[in-house]
Amino acid sequence: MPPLIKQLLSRLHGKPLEREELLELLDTALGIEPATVYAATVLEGQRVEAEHWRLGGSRCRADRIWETKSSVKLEIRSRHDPGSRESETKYLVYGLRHEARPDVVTLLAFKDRMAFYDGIRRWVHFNKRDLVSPALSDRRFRHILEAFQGTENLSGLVVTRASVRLRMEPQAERASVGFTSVAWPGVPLPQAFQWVWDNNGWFRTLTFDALRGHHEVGRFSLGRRGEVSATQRFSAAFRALCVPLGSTFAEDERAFGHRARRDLKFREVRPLAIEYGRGIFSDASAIRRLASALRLFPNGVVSVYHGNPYLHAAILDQVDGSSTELWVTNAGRILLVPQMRATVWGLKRVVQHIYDTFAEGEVTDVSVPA
Amino acid sequence: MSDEQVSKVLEDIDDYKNTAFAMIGLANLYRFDDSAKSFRGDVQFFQGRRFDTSSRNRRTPSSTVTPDLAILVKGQDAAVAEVKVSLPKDRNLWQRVLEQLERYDDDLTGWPTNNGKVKSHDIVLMFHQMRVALVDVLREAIAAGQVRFERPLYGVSFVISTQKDTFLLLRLEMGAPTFDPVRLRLREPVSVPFEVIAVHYGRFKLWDSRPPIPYLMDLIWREVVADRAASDDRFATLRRNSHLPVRLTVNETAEYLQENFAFNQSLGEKHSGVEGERQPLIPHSEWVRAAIDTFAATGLGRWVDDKQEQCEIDYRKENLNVEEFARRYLTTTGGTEEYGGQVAIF
Repeated sequence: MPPLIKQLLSRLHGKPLEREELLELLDTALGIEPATVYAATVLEGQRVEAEHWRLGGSRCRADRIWETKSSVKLEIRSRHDPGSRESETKYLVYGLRHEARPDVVTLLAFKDRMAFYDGIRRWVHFNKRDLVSPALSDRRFRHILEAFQGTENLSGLVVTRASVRLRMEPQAERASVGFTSVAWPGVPLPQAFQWVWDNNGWFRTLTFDALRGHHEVGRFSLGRRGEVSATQRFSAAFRALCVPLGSTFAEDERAFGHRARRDLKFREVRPLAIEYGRGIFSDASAIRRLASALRLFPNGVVSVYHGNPYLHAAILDQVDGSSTELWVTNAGRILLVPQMRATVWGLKRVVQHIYDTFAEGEVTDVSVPA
Repeated sequence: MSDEQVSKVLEDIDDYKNTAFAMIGLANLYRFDDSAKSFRGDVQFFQGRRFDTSSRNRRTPSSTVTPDLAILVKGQDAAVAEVKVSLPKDRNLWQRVLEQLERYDDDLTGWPTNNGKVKSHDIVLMFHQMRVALVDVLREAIAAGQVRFERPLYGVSFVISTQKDTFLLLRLEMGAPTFDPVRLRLREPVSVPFEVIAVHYGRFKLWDSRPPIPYLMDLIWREVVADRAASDDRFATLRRNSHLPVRLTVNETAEYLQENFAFNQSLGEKHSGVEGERQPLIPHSEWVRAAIDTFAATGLGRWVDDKQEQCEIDYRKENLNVEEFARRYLTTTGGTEEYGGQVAIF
């Protein structure tokens, strides 16, 4: 290991560092030695602060090593056999608080791919009520990438690898959601998006080279659940990818917030809709396909009361107990009617599942004339 | 327990919900001002309200009747309705429906007016379009003098129809409503979009008839058990093979459902005193007890007292949905009694 890297790592593992110091140090390290920073942006729930980051159980838990105003260092202990200490692996990871919204934190691992996959992602997965991950629609995903290109004054983004998920096909009403991984050396971003739309899929992660002129300034990746990686200038990725990811939380809070019946004066309902702007349900098979897709909801349980010719279902989110009813009685939209406990992230998980497995639309407030 | 039996339970749930949709559709017909395109503020509607009959009532003198729906506009135009989704195969048994209707042809006491009465009221027979033969039976019974009506009587059919969108189609099949706006609207079939039902009446899930127990279990599981469990810090990390005990009492569960899911809070009003006594408490405690008893009998909880007032339900992150509750119910004594040899209906 080059002495300079040793020195940088020693600084990284030493005294507490603020966000900007950490970003500068990571940029320097990436400039010296080929390496990757892996990051995941999350929204902290109330328990994170109350528990001083000590979240998790015997399978995966974290302990805070130090914390400053703008950053935190954690040790994540991951066990694949909860009863065996020998199966435990410890990872050191860092968290950068977002300036505009301090409860949004980008957790990152330097060089250590396992610290990201077996540490950060596993820990977030086991604590998804308290560590909320972003969930992007195609439109947001593309918008963030295009903005990244503009902000960083790049001449192009060339896709080098994409992992893609394909939605349910109309003929395969009972099939699970498909998965495929595709490598596309040298495909420009618009072409990659065209391919994924033509194939009724979405990008799970997209890895791309950022070009300025003919010069490659680094390889980056963006994931639909807010994962980011960078081989150069992580500070740029943080500002142009992680921060926009963080701002999606506020957009979701505006769309899905204040809908729990319990919080409303007459305990009335405040529905919302996923608008498709076309007669997506004109064909009855689309309702069957949606019902099949709902039954695959990984975060909860779905009761289908009526499935033909209209759809009426009730969905219980098992992450935080959020409850909503779902109706399809209009050819152009899905109606969601939140019930007594309806949380922003519970509703968001339902909508995202529909986006992932059925089709993406636009979430709107509902006003129905009698 | 067979798939057919599970399907039968789910059909019963559908019928239960369809009856509620029909009542909502009729109430909406009175509430919605077609010219102003908004709700009238002076329409009250009541589900399962208790009315006193007079001593001159031909069927049940000096007694109590509970029509499915009662509607009052501006304290004067009134209607009481009986809603039938399904009927026995044997047409001779339909006579009971007509006799039930005749009970409402009386100077009923119990309206929310100063003296509890209205000058007159319409009597409405609402039925699924597939049961339109009921109109012929009613006409024949009137012609034969088997039943008699002094007050205006009209019949309206309903059917759920899906073309581009889904709506409840209401059609006048006999007689005519007294309330002008409704009479004018029913000159042609009226369609109530299902979205209106979902949005404007989305809170009404229970009405004055015992719902299929699996439907009530599903509602209690989602809106009471999971809701309570989610308030526990251990909920977030609960594993698939573990459970979280939730303590409930029959009465508090019934009260919670009464406040938040029954038909009668339509106007956001709390009923108390005499007014409250006329309004049924839906769901009845006995229904809730039966649902909790099924949780207990199928390994999802237990009674903690001999009186069966308090229980502990084990919340689990399992695929416990309405179909699964139907399956479980069908393994209990109550389930086999109810679905082992029921009277055939069509």
